[in-house]
Amino acid sequence: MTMLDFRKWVSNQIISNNLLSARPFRFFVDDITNEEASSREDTGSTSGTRLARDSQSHHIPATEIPASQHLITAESSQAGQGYHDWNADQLSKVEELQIKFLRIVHRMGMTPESIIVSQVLYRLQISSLIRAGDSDVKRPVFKVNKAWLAASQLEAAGRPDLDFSLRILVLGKTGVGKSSTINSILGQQMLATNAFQPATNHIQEIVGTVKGINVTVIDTPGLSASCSNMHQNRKLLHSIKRFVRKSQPDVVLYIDRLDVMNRGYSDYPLLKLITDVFGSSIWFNTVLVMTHSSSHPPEGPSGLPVAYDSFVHKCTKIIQHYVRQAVSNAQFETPAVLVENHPMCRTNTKGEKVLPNGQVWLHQFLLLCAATKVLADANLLLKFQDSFQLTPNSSRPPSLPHILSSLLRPRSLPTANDIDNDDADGVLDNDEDEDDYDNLPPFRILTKAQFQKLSKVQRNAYLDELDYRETLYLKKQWKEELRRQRETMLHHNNDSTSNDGNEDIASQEVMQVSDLVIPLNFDADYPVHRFRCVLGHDQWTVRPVLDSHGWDHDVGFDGINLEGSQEIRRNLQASLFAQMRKDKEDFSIQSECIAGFTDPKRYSLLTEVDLQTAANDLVCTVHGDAKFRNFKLNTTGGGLSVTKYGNMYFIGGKLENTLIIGRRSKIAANAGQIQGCGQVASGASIEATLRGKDYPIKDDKVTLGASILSFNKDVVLGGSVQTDFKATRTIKMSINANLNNQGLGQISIKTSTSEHIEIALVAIFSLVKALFQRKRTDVSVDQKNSLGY
Amino acid sequence: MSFFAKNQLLGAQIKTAAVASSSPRRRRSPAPSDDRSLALKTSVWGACKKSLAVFSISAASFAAAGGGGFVLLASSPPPPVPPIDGGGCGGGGGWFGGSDGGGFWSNLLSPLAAHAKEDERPEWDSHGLPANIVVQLNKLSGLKRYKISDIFFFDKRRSTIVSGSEDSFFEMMTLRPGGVYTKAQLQKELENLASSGMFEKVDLEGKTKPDGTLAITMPFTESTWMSAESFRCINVGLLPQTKVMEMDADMTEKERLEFMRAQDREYKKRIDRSRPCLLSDDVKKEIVRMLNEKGKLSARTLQTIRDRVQKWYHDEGYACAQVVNFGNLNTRELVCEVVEGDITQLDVQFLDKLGNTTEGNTQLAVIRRELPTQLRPGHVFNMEAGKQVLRNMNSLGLFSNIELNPRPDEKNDGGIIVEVKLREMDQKSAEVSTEWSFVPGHNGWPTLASIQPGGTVSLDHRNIKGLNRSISCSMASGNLLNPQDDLSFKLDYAHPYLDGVTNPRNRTFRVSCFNSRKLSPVFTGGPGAEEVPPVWIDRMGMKANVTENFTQQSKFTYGLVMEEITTRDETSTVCTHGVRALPVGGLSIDGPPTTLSGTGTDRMAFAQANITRDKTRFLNGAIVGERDVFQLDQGLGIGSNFPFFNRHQLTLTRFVPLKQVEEGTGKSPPPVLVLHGHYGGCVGDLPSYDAFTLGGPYSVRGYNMGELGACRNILEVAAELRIPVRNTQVYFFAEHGNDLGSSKDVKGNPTEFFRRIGHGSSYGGGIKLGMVRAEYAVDHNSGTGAVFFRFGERF
Repeated sequence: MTMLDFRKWVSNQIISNNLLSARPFRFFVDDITNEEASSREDTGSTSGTRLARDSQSHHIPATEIPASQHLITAESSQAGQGYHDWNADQLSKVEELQIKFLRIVHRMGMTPESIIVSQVLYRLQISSLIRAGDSDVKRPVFKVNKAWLAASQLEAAGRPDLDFSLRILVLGKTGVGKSSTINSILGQQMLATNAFQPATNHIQEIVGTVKGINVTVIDTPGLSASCSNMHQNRKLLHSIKRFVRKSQPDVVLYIDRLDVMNRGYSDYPLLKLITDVFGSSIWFNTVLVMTHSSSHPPEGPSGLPVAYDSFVHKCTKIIQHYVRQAVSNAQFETPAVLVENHPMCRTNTKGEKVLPNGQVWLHQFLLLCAATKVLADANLLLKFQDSFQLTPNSSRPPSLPHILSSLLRPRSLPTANDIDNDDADGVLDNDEDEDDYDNLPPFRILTKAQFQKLSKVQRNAYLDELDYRETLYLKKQWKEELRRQRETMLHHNNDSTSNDGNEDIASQEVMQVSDLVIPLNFDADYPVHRFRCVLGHDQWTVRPVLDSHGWDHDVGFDGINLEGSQEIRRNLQASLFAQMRKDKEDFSIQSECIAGFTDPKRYSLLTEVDLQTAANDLVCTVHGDAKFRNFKLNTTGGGLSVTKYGNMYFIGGKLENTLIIGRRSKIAANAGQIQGCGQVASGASIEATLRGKDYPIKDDKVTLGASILSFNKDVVLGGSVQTDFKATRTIKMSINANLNNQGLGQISIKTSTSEHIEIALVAIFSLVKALFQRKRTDVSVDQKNSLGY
Repeated sequence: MSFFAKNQLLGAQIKTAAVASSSPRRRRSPAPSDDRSLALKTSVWGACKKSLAVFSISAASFAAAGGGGFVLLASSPPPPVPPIDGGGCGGGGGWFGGSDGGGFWSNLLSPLAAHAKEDERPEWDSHGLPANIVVQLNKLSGLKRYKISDIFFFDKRRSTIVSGSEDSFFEMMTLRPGGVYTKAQLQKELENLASSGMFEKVDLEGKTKPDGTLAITMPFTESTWMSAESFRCINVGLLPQTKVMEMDADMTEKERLEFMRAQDREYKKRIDRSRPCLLSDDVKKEIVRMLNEKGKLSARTLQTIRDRVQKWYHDEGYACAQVVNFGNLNTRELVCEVVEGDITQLDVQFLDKLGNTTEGNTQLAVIRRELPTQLRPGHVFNMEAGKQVLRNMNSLGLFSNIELNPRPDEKNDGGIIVEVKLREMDQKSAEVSTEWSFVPGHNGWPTLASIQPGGTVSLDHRNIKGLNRSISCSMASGNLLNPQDDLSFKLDYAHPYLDGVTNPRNRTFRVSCFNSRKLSPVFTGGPGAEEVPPVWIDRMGMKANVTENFTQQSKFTYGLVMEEITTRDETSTVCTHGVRALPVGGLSIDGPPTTLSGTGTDRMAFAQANITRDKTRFLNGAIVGERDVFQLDQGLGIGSNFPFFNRHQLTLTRFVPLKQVEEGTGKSPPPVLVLHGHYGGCVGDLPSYDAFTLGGPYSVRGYNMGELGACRNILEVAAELRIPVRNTQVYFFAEHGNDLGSSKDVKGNPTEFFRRIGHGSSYGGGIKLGMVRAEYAVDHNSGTGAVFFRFGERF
């Protein structure tokens, strides 16, 4: 066979090579769809590859395949000794199977050169070869020719003892001819059939012999095509599943009518349901059966009937497409066979029913069934079913730089006050050196009328004075609060047993929360009542997450945001933040759970568990962090993290150091590395912060940062500047800029004000511009329309 | 003594703080009567404060809810801003009325009162005497500081020792076992007790202990009076205080009798002048029963009665009510005098950031509307009303800090001035944020991707003219100067008090202009079907309506809507028909039309109304009551293809409690049966995006949005049984939705085109975790179940 021939052979194949992947039919096998998702570049090469994968053999190039048979036969002549007993045993059994199969082939009047047969044989060869190779079996691998010879001799001798039985499960919609097909196969009217009404209403077994093969057929009631009866279908399928649990069928027939197939084929839900109930492994052993196949093909677009073969091809493709979708694998193909049960069906000279294309369908059918079974048995014998990998190949390794940046991120417990204790110390220690609110001279607040009378300069002076006082006032309040906290802390230290009974009473107070604001919409509905509640008495804060691109006519509160923290014991605090969403199918979660122990003077320990969904997988990170205050103003810390994603693990570590200089500035540096899956990413960053003099009342600050990241020999250097300040008394600005050595970066400027709201006029400009643009496109569309019609 | 809810500027998170009691309560001194009344007052205010403080915490999250968007219901720890103390617990008068022979007593001291002494000086002196000697009080040394190891009350009449520290005697004592006291202190304490009215005679004896401490025994005779048969409760608040005339020691018998009679008469007059009490008859009967059982009135009985009466008041929310005296002792009728806490004045103040009182921007009428009548002068101060105020004020969304402060009225004895202190939020705020991106240019140098920035602009102007009118605008685009498809904008103007701020009719006018882009549930696949390419519905337009609030929950809204609808496919190009993937690849284009006009863009104007009658309420945390909603959209024949249609929906929901339960804090809610029905119908030109969709969290649970179909007529019925378990609710439900065969009337029959059934049922169960519902719903069409997490209620 030349390369070209081979290609043709592949493309013309109705019966897919995947037949060769038939394996023992196990209903209780886990879903193996993922395994099937493995990408294969060439269907032709798959048969070899799929089996070979386990034993680390490489792709067999497509061109080699035709040659391989010779190769194997050549090799097989090498005699050898000293092989493993078990393997030899199995291999001889496989050999027997091969002979049995060839006997059937013989009975069907076919030769080993026919397509299906050669594939099966090839497959058996390859698998035995692999097994033999595995255990250094040096025994001759079966010779096809020899086996064929043996089989022919056995057949010629008329030996009837073909120990081969088929157990066939029949599935299909009502009225597609399941019972009729069984009758046709067995050659006698064993079952009642009816063209218009469901004739089978319970599961039954029929035993018969066809061409010396013992055939047991399990006939089942028809499934309903309408999607409204899915519930009944499911029940029926479950009862079938129970029925076949004890003795599992070798072959499953999925029967459908050829003549009703069209583009609007709508049995996908049914196929999906079968997959759901039996697992996708059912399709490995399934033969698609198309009944009513001698009906005339419909008219094509040209008005002439479509050629029979292409019609069949198209129909098979459609159903195979849906099967592929049901198992979520683009390459998977089930073999199909055509059947005609009508008594008026054309027969050949031997009285066998033939299809319009001249094939004797019964032979084809039996051969396929036998092939399926033989391969399944061989797989079972050679224990190849275990070679199917269950790892999802689709999952890409996550981006290490991202994991690294999450590792390097400084972590802290959300405490009652956002200010670090370190900072607070500094402020409290030297608080007397500044202006105090109480020391200010008395000041008269002006009424509105009085204020109006002031000149512009006076007004400004007045407002400045107010502003100054406010700052001092807030500062004073803040300090008082800080002192109080410290006192309570000391108090707690003294007697931690004193418990306030008041809190319990407080927590029971129930109060209706005022209505939630619902985003604007054009509906007449205001479903505020759905979100009405009484105030909970727990420390959890639950909020909805708005999906602004949710469903039309729906509010869009689809996700849930949960936040809470709790002091477990003194100095031991835990907090949780989670955002999740669970619908019928999709589930996503993003959660952070931190537990921290803080010794206010010396050190703090943190443990963090993060969960996150990425595509279909859960990314789980465990993070441990420790910080020591080694000097009064210096804190050193380190952390370790383990990230699990699918089957991949990433381990990382970091070191960090924070130095406080004076009251208002701070330098923090950290460095870390993460590795896993043979990749390493490392990075470091340094950040200097200078705060305004009124910190923490006013959060003026400048932060300069630099970072370096290396991953896959790429080194990215980045720098950033962030500054928050008050431009005037009422305008706050925040400028952020960052840039890296690859030329990517961003500048953002944020301005907020409570006085000069004129700055929002920019919006009007944009809106007007947008409106004009719409007008223009409208006009152009109109012109196009008028030209078009 | 104050509480407040602090709203931070943007209202996203509101933090609260409650102030703890500031001044340690003074020990009661026996001498001047005003001092005694001060002590009384202190505890009254203490009580008020406690409960109000509790409330203020809850007030927090209301305003949070107003924060809009999706960050709602925040309750977080207080910011580093210390609370403002509401001010002193001033004097004011209790009234002490005498009656014949019995004298009076008034006693109120909380057990908290004595703690102040303890930690001061832990050192103490040994008594220096042999053990087990009884020492009279006057024999004790005035210089020593004795440590008291035990305290006993010895009832002389019954010769028993009263034990149990929860007994009312111990409640009155400021001495505590283990404390260290001087002789003077002990003497004071004794005087104190003697003058309390509880005892006819009381003494103090010390018994020396071997370890140098003293055990105190207090032999006493309890005051008793004639047994009374009936009970009367009067409100003596705001009554002028009568002078207590001291009885002259050297009066003759006759004079004394005369004096007593005069006093008696005066007291009668006083009773006549007093106003009736709010006290319920049940409690009165209970007390009469108690009187009959007890026979002779003892001081302790009176104390029990006092506690019972006060408990009732406090349970009912009259936090400032106080039993001040028992009069008419030694007669058949016992008179209980109560100061209920009548409001004499309501004071609204605005505070600036520094806590100074200023002029507010908000018009007083706006605030006055929100104050319930119960809080007007002449009514008795009630906690519930106080909470109502906080809630109402918070729902105005104008104040960052609301403080309600009941304060004793110095000019009117027993009166209360209610101060409402408000801190206004900034009226205006605007924010512009812009962003430029760098990309590598030629030679790898970073260059600006575009000189035109992307960003967001937002503007808020609240409380215009002090009438709570507000404008809010926001806009976001990837390119502010040349906005493209990604422009999203919102403009909203609200004008409350349409009929005038003093008119009780509450109508609000609202105009909004905005756009949205959402997925259409009409163009989705049926169960288990292959993916259907989504259709996005872009809506842009304006809506003007008037909302009339009948009650807090019931309202009537009517208005006009003008909108332009554009349907887009995944690639955001305008599409005209729904599509479906074909098995051989490619898409079918013969799907149902997405718009009425068929061009992918519709414009229309229609009238809209919604009338909601909502009589639901929370009964111990469970919703009971009923809610009916009727909605109407009436096409006016204005727009593309002159759409004339009528779309109406009626929703009826009943929440039936299955058990009678008592209402109150900490009581368990009843099991509730919820029955729900929803009917919708359409007449006329109905574009597919406005068709009713079946399936989804608010239609038939257990299905995806629109999984059952899209139709012109819709019927949904549902039943849910809610059973309280511990602090939460478990529920079971069954629901059904049906298109009534109307799917085929929707243009292009999207129900069938996407292989949907048009009807379906589901059943399941779930649990409520706060506002989150976790439920398992079985979709009856396919017989499979799934777990769902949802925010909020289904009904």
